[in-house]
Amino acid sequence: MAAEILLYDLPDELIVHTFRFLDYQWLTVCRMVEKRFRNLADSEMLWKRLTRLDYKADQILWDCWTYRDFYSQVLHRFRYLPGWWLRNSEIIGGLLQITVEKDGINCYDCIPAVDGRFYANESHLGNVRILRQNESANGNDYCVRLNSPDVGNYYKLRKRRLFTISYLGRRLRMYCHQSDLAIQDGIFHRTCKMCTQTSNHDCELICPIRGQRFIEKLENGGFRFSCQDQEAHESMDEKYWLEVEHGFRVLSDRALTSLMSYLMVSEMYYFRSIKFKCLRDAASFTAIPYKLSGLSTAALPDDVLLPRAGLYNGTYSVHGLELIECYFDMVHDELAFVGRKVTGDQNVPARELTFTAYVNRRLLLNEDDIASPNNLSLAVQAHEDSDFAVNDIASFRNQPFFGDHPWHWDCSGMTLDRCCGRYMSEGQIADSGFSLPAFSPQVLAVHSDKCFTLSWIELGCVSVFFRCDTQPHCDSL
Amino acid sequence: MIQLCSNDDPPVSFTVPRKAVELSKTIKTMLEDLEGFDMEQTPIPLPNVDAPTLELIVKWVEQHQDDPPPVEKPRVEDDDSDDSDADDDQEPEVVIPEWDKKFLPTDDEQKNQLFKLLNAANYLEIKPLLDIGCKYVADKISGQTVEWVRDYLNMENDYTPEEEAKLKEEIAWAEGL
Repeated sequence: MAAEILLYDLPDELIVHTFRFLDYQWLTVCRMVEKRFRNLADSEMLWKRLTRLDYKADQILWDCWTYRDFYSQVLHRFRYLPGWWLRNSEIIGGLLQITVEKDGINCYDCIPAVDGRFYANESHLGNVRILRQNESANGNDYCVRLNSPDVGNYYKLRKRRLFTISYLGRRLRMYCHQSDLAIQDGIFHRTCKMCTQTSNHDCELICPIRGQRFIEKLENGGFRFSCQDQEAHESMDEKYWLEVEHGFRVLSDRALTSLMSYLMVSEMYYFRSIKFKCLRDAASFTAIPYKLSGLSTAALPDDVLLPRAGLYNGTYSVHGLELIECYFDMVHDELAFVGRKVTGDQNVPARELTFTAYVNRRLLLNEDDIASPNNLSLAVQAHEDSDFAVNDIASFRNQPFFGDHPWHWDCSGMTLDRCCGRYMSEGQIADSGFSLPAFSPQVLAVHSDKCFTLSWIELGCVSVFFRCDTQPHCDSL
Repeated sequence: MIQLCSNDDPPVSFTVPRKAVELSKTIKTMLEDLEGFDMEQTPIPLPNVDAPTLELIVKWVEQHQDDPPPVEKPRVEDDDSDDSDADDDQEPEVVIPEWDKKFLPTDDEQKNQLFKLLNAANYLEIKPLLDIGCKYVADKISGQTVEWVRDYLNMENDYTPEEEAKLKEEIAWAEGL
């Protein structure tokens, strides 16, 4: 054996093994070194591995692509896109999820669960009969419910596809979805074939960097997306609105007219049509990276059950359901469970605090205390005077909750008799347009690690929060 | 104890505990195949390994003989068997232990020795040693220019200027070069 030995003299398998420890950048450098290295560095096995490690895309469903081409021309090019983003629409806000899927890189708008509250026990809305999906509609004046009025639905996070960067057929093409409620929705899944309003159209590709980028990257790390065909978006109509906001499909034009005339007289129409306008404006929006902040669970007391941090569907009376991110944080040196709006409304917009519950201000209440908002107010005052000290921890962890109560209950079809802990909280309220914002006393009651309620003492109503079944991937969760 | 012989003339032999020598899959398999023979008396010749390299190998296996055995997983290397949950994701990250950092011949004039060691580890199938050696070389290359890598590995550029220009275009996607 020669005394001199170079890396070059080593067998291919050894060089490839060395290359396994290189990332895409230095693998590319090795390609440039010389020809044998290029062939070895182009090994599909290496690029398949990088595809998996860097993008968790582990199935080759794009037959016409090699892993190396797919990595360099698709994944790397759009590398900053996959993940979670906050929608930068000022009042309504929202959350986007972008994932690498088999047909393309898809962007989904996450929308709260459908609010079944108004319709749960009504088989008629105005003079239109509402059917369940499995009932057959023989006449014309019908709507079909797309989800049964089930409390379980409140734990769902719905997703609506916004745009796709498609790479089928080795051709990169981008298009947006005017309406695509059915995909990965969880609630509508079984009916997706019946969804009629879907139409896709090409959208403008904004290409500021070397003419290559489809989507513009913003200074703050976000991106902006816009569609050429604004008209198509504006034509999204009432049928679509009913489907997105109310969760049922109208089966005839007559039913539509009749329903709209019924809904338009209610205050609900005003608030929710604003929300809908924002969905329509999806053709043009900006987004910034999303990451849930907050403390790790290690900082929490271990003698009580607390809700888990994460994304919640919260009931906000006439505003319907909203997405709230909840996390633990220190507020003025005090451990608090904080709720911040991901989607907002006319009064308190997205990105604002909605509540701050103080984990060390405990409340132990009896049946009388919760009989009325007035009693509750007095009971809270008494606890405040004694510095929120609760000695009987067993009773604290098993307290009565409203049975047949005088409160405005936001969640029909659900009864909560007990709760396993109550905490003093403050909720943010404001007039329309976020004018005169103020904090109002609340009581937070924990029902499980995935469900809690907030009783707004001054407003005399109760909001219920359900932890979404899909959670953004965040370190602190 | 097992005796290993280098390929020098005359051969240099090393006496190694069996447990240590079995870190080499090649030798382990050989010993299993020869079960029943008195291997303590039969030196094993290693035609691909010279004395300085064998000395390093012996030092390494003796140091690592008590390491917990690596978890063996069936490796799927070919592309067509597309099992989406293949073990690549769980592939543990290779970390070079402190002792090994000092052990590896890392001075520039010892480069040849390093490559000989890698070659021997490959031949003897000592996976952990191969991993840390290859990782070391990869770390060395990472962050360097093409010219630096050529120089480090003593390699000649065998591209024509035209080919080189084309390649540069091809790799423009990987920024920061």
